[in-house]
Amino acid sequence: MIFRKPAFLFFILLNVSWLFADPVSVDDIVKTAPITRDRQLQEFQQAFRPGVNSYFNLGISYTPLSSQLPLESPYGVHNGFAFRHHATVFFSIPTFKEKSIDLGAFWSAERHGWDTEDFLFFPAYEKFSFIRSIQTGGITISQPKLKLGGALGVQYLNVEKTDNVYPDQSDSLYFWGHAYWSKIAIQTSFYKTKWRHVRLAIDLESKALLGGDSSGWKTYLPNFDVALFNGESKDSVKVTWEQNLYKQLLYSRVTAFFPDRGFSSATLTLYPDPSRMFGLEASLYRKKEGGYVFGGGIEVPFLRIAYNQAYDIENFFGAKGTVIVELQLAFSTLGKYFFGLNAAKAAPMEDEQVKLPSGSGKGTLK
Amino acid sequence: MKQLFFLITTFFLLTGCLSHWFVESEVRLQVENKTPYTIVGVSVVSLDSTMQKNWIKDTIPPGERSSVVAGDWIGTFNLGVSYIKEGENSVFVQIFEAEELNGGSIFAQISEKDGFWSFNQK
Repeated sequence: MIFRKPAFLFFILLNVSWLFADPVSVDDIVKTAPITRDRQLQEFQQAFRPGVNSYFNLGISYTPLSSQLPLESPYGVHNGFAFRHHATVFFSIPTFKEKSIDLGAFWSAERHGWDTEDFLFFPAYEKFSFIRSIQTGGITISQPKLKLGGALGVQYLNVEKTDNVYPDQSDSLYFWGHAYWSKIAIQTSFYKTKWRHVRLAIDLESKALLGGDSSGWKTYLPNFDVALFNGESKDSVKVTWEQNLYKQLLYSRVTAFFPDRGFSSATLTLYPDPSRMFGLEASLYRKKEGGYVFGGGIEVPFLRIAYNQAYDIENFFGAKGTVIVELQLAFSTLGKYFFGLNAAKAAPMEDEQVKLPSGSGKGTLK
Repeated sequence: MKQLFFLITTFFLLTGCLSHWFVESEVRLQVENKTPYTIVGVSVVSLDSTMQKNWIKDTIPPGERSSVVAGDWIGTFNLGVSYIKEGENSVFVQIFEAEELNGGSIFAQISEKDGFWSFNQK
């Protein structure tokens, strides 16, 4: 009896699910590989900052209905589950006698694709399934006082299961290198002897967490990320501009591809606290074939709920037209402080001293 | 100990295919020929009509049923029914567009009246 009510609810959901069905195409799934590669390296660039001790990120997309993100193949629309699981771990610890040099390691993995059944570790591997993993690993060395850092690593793409309805793709191993000095970071990757990308990230915004100002005009300076890709696509330059709009609580982000596509997406994100542990985002995505998609999402620790959010359209095979729930947790640490990726200030801690106005009779020593 | 057992059980339940309990991942299709023609096969035809994958390969005389054949086609597909008319020397194909196939057993009746074909899932 206890199982009947949920089963009934599930039945109703299955019957109305066509209302929010928007298939993902076989091409979109295969073409997400370079986007994931780039996202992992960009995530590394944002996590690897002077003095940052660790960064942890875990995310599991949850779309419980088989008609939510079906697959569009040349034969029609297949009911099933597009999935995306990712995890990133980075830590960097002061070593040697003077504790002046930090040594660390970074590992990021994403397994994504489409399967006829939903799962966490063991896919069904049936016909039409596509399962691929992309892993980025590396070792880091940095000198926080001089704001100098460098990293080297590999990036491995593994096609675990594919089917002949998908475009061909083979496994590949990239090498990458990264270096930063103060607010400038340079990154590159290679496949055999061919370079695949060069990134220049200039974060001019002053961040209290990294020893900068906590307010003032310097916190309103822009952050730029320019990546040049040596791929098959014509659009070889990706430019991202992040701008603090109000007290490091409200940010805008604009992404564009050159020379062909131009404007790609824009977001407006409100962080109730500058530590970025919570976020509320409205986004605008410009489709390749023309037209715009409006969307948004809410992010809290352990959960992200989104509808048509540009982040999902870009990273999750163009997924749109359905509510996407992601079970996720992400935070960085620096000393005893916690904060979200790329945040300007640390989350308020309970052990911080609260200064009350003198004469209030509270909090003063007697 | 009980809590640990509960946690371990929950974890293992979450690792595999959750929907397996609710949704079938194959279609077992059987068709009945209610047309006056002999059906010589049922296939899935690609959206651009250039490719096809055979599903039921039986020859089904009028009034007969095919065998039950399992397939991976869950979703919405174009189904092609190949048939021959008595006294004519060629194979005709009738396409049913955007047929919705849910997982599990499907029994369908194919009929034709005054040139209009129908594919009724019972």
